[in-house]
Amino acid sequence: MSESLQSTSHEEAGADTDHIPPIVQFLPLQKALDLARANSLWPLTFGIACCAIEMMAASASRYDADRFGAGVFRNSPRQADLMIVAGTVNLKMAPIIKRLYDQMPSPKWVIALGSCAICGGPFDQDDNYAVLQGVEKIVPVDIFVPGCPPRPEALLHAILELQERIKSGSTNATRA
Amino acid sequence: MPLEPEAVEPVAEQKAVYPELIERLRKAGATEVSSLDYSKSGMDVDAQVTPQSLCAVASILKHGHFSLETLVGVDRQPEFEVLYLFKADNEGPRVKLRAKTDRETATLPTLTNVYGGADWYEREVFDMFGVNFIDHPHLRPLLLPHFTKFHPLRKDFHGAPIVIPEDTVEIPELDVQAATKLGQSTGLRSDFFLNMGPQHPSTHGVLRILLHVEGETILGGRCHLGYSHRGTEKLAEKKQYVQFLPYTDRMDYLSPLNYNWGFARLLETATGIESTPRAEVLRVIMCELSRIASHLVWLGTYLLDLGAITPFLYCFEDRERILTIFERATGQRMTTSYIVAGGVRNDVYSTFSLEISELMRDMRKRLVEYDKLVIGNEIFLMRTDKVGIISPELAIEYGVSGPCLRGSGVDYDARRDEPYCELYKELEWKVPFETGGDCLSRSRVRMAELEQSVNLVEQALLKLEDGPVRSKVPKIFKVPAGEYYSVTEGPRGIIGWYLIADGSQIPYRLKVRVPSFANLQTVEQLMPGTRVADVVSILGSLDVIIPEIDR
Amino acid sequence: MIERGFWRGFGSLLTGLGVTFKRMFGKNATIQYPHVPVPVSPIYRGPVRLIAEEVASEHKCIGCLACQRICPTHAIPILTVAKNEQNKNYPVDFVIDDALCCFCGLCVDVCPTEALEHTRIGDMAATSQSLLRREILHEGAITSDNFPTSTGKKENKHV
Repeated sequence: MSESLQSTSHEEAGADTDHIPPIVQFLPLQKALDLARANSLWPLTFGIACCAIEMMAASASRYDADRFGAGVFRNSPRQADLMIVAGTVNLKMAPIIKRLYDQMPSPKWVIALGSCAICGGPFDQDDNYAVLQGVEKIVPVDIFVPGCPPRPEALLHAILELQERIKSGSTNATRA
Repeated sequence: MPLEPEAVEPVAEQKAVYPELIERLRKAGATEVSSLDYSKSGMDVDAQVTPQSLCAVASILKHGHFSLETLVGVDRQPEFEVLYLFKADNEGPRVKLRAKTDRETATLPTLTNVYGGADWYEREVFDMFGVNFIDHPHLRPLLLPHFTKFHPLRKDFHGAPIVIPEDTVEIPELDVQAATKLGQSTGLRSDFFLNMGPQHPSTHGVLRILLHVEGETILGGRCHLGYSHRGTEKLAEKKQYVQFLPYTDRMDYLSPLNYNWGFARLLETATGIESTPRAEVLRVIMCELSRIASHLVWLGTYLLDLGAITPFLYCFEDRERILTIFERATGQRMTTSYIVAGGVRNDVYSTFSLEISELMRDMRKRLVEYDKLVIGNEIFLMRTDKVGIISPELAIEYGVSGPCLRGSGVDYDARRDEPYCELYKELEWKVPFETGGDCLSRSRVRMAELEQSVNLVEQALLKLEDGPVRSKVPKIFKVPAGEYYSVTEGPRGIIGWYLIADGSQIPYRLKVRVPSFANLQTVEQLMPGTRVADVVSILGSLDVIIPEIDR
Repeated sequence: MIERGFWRGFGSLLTGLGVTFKRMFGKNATIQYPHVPVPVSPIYRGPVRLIAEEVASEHKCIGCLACQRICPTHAIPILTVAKNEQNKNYPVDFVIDDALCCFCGLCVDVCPTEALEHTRIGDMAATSQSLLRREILHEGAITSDNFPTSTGKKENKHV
């Protein structure tokens, strides 16, 4: 695992004050909380482009993300703790994503769904003037899902992967 | 009631010329008026206009019930040229007006006084080329952020660093003014501004609408686009024709096959390559399936917007079955890249016909269910009946197309009225249309279209005969120099591709006329006087795809 | 137009409930992923790899660079070629970036020796972007271990 990659994303996200761990820690309680959090991820309803349709498909009848407790799409960032960036992030959209991320209560996690969200994908080419080279430039990303667009089961796998990481307490998420 | 163009009468079936129209355009001040060969260039009449005569010539077309299809900006180096593409109803001609302006002044008169629908198109040209339109009511960047200082589609622009400034989310004063201007002030000072989107579940993507409201009643509103702008048209000028194929999928991801077909047809018009009979049938089957899938997503998400969750689950279940067929036939679920110039990329699998006819049989039963579940539902009727009425006049002025146009009582469908696929003429089907113009009419048109598409697929399956699926295409794909336009009918309306080729492997300029762009533009006219909840209903009934609009 | 009225409206709600009630006894739609693998089409365009011969590191690539040239998204960042004793080209480094790939299949179509093929892997999800760059030359016989899938790469499982 490249630790350097994660640390840079933290710095770029400007989350410098959030690193400080709470003064008093209750480990068993923390474990229980992590378990609860992992099994009740509430994603933010937020589709930008093609991948959003596959995200919808993942929450619809055939794939049913509800089986993993991650099907309760919330319309308000204040109620969500998982941001699935599904689509191309451009210059005009980037500040809004940053703002939405800031509005979400901690701890919070980000899945970059699809090529565009990972690195600009097919649109970060020769004369690019609009597309951001990956959502990692503005928010810390936990799971990268390649595909253009990724299949719904890839998103489900990403959610499972994220749950694993949350349970082991090793995500990029900032803790309040 | 289909509106007939007044001045024009097609002379011959094959190569129509329009002497009367040409004469009238000449009188109004157009120079160099000539008729073109439709089968080669996709246009009938070509006219050069001076900035002074532009509005007069456009008024002639307006009286002939022409609708403004799109504006194409071109950097001709050194001067700029703006092409205005007009379309008459049904069998009438397509007219192209060309207005030139030099690089230094870069100004043209606005067409918004004649065609209200020119508004956004002119803003887009302003965005991309920096051409100023004098007296335009709201000339602000449409797709690019307000802080950018460049014009990307100019030929001397070669990329820009991606830097995000700090304060971009603020509502600029100008936007507030513009939103205020749209509505009539009631004199009561209880009005305020409401920002809807870009993260809003009912905008189907990232659309932002700045609403000027008084209580629940909307006084006016402005759409803000560009939150999903990806610079596809600039990319097209850097990619070979073959390489651009994957990008056509990603414009309208709900009906990628229809976009594939549009692009393939453009290249076939330009190069004269013909596709094989089997490929033609496969194209019709796949595109109609794609239309069904797209309308199913519309139905599911529209009902989700209106507060019903069940249809969403049902529709996606059916859609998954269609996607499974796509995956087996093309290799991908959504971004298929299947239809190419000269045919389709690969032949279908052995049980293809069997699976589809089984699916269609089930689909028929499902459609009856959906009709019972949705269209008859009282809550649905209350949310949609007599809400957001688009009059036929407004629809034509704004260049609305697809189910939205047919919901307003204009009987036009490119599949029937444009000679782009012979098979549609052979099959037995009808173009559904309603006269209400409200959200309910548009919904009913789509429901009827679902049924017609099932019809079409079933009949097309019987025509599927053995044979090659792709004709011979040269290894190095070049398009002869010239200008071409091709039109196909997607699930949302007319998909037009305008290509300016310079004889190389790379397009000089490629402009896509997307249906959602024109359809969404009417929203600003529909909103005043309605309630906030109605906006959700109107937006959903227009069935817009934001990345298609932003490109 | 549909006639409206209280009783008709009330009836329409009951009709809707009837439809949903009937659906309760229909076939199950959900696939129990990850316990049951999702069926993937035989021609599914997944991540690209070199077709391995019997000997693991042998392949048909002649280093013509056609795939790199046609790729619309520049998803083949590294493809270096050297000449062997018979003055024939062969690849030395061949990296595919799955993060950039748009799975259009143009590279597979263009390959003159049919050295490339698509895998049918559809559920990749990685914890780091660097996991998505693959050195496909020395991959040998492909297994899902080479990919960060649900059944594959253990590297992905975080400590």
